[in-house]
Amino acid sequence: MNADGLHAQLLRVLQGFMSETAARLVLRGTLEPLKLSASSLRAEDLPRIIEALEPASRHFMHPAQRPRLAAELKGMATGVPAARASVPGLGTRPTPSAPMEAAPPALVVRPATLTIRSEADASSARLTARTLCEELGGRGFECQKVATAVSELARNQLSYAGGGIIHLHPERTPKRMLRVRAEDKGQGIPNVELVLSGNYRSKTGMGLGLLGVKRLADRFDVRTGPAGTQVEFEVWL
Amino acid sequence: MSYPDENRPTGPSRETSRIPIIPLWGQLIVPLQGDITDAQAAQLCSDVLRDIQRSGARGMVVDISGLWLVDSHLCAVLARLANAARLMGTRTVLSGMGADVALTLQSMGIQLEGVETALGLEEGLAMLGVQVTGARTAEAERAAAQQLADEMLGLTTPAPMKTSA
Repeated sequence: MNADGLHAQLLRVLQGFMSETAARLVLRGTLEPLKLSASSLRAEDLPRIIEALEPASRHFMHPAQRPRLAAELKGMATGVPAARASVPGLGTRPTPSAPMEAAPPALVVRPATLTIRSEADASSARLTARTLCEELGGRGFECQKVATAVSELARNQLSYAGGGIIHLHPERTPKRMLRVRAEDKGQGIPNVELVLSGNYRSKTGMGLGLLGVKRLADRFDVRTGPAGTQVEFEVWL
Repeated sequence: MSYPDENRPTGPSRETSRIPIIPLWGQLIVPLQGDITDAQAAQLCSDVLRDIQRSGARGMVVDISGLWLVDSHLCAVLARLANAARLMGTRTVLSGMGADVALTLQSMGIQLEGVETALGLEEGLAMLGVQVTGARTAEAERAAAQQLADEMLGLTTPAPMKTSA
């Protein structure tokens, strides 16, 4: 592929995630410090460019979409299109038909699975939960409830189980709701009845994390044991 | 453009970047924005308490109007900060909590006991004894509106206008 073709393709990938202006800005701002110009790009430069694009683009896009951008860029470098289904994200994006297509992708409300290993993951989980809720048509308070509950569960996973997985399932029928399942492989919650009774205070927090989720949820279920903990809850919109 | 560290991707990440603490009229103002990570919250506590000691601030307003999410952990941190500041003799007012955040915390049963709250930054500063002087206070505006209404009804004579052509 020639230099212009590479440049156009990079732009097209970026435009799937941000406006055309932002994409051009990000790309130019990435190439300049690398002493590369749009008219002399070579395929060998791609790995360097892709590495630099990741931090450069983060201010312009939803954090939950970062893995998908990384996958698509990697797909460009290896010549294999990213396998969309394997990438957790907010929805499928139609393949841009023309390089000028600048509109952000229309987000289809579909389930998301998030791996929680760090605080940044927890942060993107609550943002994703809120976005899903908003796309389902939830009002401010409901979106706030969902995001806060997801935040509590992600924090518990990080503090007590070293991480976990959070599934977000938007449902439209029979009722509009967001169902959340949080799973971890930690040692379980030893005194879950006490925690949920409201008479417990943890050393670090206020002991209200899990109880708070229960109080926020319209349906709540927790299963815990030495092999791990699963919390499932629904917030009806 | 928010694009500072293209050459060093290992620069200060959002997780560790510091929250500003603004000294103003003998008080400290701490504006919280966006999404506070646990690391930032812990750093904030020690920074604020250090600044209180250095500046001798009598009061502090923590403005959370820019936060889109407040969970039990952040509440615990804020309550701990307020209590530690109180032990040092500094009053803390939490201002700017949004309606959805307030409803959510209330549903969760979080009370934020021992923390004074105010509707906004202005009210928060007023609680700490900062008085606004000048034309733009609420009372001054009300008085001006009253004056204008009186003039339009002909109850008072308007202030003489300059008529230099």
